Amino acid sequence: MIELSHIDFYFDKRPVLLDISFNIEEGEKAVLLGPNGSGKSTLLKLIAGLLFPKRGKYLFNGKEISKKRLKDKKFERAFRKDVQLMFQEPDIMLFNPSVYEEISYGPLRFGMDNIKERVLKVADFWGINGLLKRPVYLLSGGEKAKVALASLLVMEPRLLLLDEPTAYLDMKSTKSLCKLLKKERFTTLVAMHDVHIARYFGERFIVLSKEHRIVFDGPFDRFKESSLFEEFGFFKEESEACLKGGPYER
Amino acid sequence: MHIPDGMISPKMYIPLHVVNAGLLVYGFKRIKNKIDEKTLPYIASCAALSFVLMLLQVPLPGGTSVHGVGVAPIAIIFGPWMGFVAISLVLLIQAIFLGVGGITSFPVNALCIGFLGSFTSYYIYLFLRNLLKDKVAMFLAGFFAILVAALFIAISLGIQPMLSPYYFPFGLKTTIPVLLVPHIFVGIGEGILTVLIYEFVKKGIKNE
Amino acid sequence: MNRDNLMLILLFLCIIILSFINNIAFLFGYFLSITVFFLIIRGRVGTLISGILRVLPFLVVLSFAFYISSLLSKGHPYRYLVILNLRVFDMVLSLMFFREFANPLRALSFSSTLTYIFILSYSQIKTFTELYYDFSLVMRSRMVLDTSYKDRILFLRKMAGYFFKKAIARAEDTAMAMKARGFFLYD
Ligand SMILES: Nc1ncnc2c1ncn2[C@@H]1O[C@H](COP(=O)(O)OP(=O)(O)OP(=O)(O)O)[C@@H](O)[C@H]1O
Ligand SMILES: [Mg+2]
Repeated sequence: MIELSHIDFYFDKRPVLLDISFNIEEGEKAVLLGPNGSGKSTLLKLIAGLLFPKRGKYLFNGKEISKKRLKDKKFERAFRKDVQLMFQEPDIMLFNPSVYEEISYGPLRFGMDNIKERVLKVADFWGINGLLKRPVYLLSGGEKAKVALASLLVMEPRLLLLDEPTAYLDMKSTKSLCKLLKKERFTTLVAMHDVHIARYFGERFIVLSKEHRIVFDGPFDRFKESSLFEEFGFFKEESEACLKGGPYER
Repeated sequence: MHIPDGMISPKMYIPLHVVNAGLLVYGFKRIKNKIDEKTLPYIASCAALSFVLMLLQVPLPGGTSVHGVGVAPIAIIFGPWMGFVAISLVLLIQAIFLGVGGITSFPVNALCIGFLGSFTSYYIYLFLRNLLKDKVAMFLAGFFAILVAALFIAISLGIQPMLSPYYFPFGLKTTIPVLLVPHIFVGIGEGILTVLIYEFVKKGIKNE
Repeated sequence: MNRDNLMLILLFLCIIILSFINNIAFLFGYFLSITVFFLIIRGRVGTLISGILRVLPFLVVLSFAFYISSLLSKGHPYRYLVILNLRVFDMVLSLMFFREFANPLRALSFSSTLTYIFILSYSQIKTFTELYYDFSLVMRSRMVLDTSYKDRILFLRKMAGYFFKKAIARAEDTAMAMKARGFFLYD
């Protein structure tokens, strides 16, 4: 579904992503790991067609995503509907008067049908039906994150990009998110820090180094055995204990 | 510095509302022509920035401190129209949401602080930066932005007795000294704030 | 046009009317009716008092100065003072009345662009204000109380610079988020 080949990205003159190449197939659930400042958020914005690489190619369903391609409004419309990104700071994605209007914003913009039912369904899932009439700017951090997630999920995207979605969520909501991602068909790429939670967000781990390069791409079990694991501040014994409990399986 | 409601006679605030609204629409279009899709987020950001700069206490040499205004740094860095639109927005939000300032006095406040303050600081900086050290030019831009704003607020208040009775009661001879003298200190504060932000921006760019 | 828009227009009308009328009986009647409304019907003594307190210091100083100056010039300040003060109270209370019943954000939404401007600004002002108060707490918890002038200036620079950087980053990110959600796709 997405193919990145040899992507370099710079902010002014400072490199933020170097020689990034990987593919993600339709339906795959992948996790993006990396230390602070390694470029995870930037990579997600790039995949969402909001930033453009200096070098390299990014194909989405076989079509290159470039500034020029997105000038074609019809193409942009289809692309933006399919790809939904949750920003690291959910606050900034919310700009409508009330929670209801916030969630129904996308469906209205992209001309979907049965808007009310869709909104009520996601709101119900996230337990925010009580908030529907409230203004978004008065919500707590976690509530804002749920509204942001709801407004992405209501779009039924094909590719869902989440930037540290669990940062503001309580444990219970984190678990529902895990369950939801497991159940749904769409492709996901989730940037995370905690491997123990990340483990339940996807089997495939893509790991960025602080030098902004990909240093690992493969299943969790292999990542756990690699020398990188401890370099990233995780301990095998600790993680085995954590995994045995398997709080997310339940 | 905000004038409350009930001080400005309708002979003045009605035409000024019209002028101010016209300038705001024009300013918005100017900004939009320049930064297009980023217009709304940048206006919001600048409004929030000036709001928070108004909360900051700027310490003056000698132990006292004054509140910043932030009109000069915003006007110099983001352009005078952005300064005007952002400050007006803050004044409107303060008047309607927080009950600070007033609705009838809104155009006077917006034109004096937002419009005159922004354009004064912007052009003083443009003019002086070739003649003086950058820091000095910044300081003076901030200082005069406040003094010019205070002067015009003093004038707007001072001509009320000539327009109609039962509004602000004192004439120009009183308002000008009473407003200008304390605003010398506010001006110094704004000057310091402008220099500090400027230093920060310059340092940030160097580090890149 | 929604209910809150109408309330805002009503507020403007009231304020314009108030600003043209110099009749003590009318101004006093208006004052009395809003006060009674707040006290009896809404039971909001606090709102009423906070509204009055907000303008009181300014009015006291102004009235006192005017009183002295007209004594010196042997004028009759009473009528002038009563009208001036009543009018200010009337206007302030009208605004409080409006804020009590209308949602200001919806009231200002005469066009969708205006709505977005106000929501984006208001929510960012809220975030920044919260950050500012946290910042002040940091200052109190991490620095010795009696700090030198240089320290205070440095702290101010850090704070102002932080908000400056944050404002730009947030504007850029918001623009991207709006784009991602299809804000700029007109049909
Ligand atoms: N708008 C910008 N302008 C300049 N530099 C930026 C900008 N946004 C990010 N950067 C820089 O790019 C680098 C990567 O940032 P990014 O936000 O992608 O990191 P991240 O991996 O998401 O980190 P975190 O785990 O802290 O979220 C950082 O060094 C950051 O300072
Ligand atoms: Mg990040």
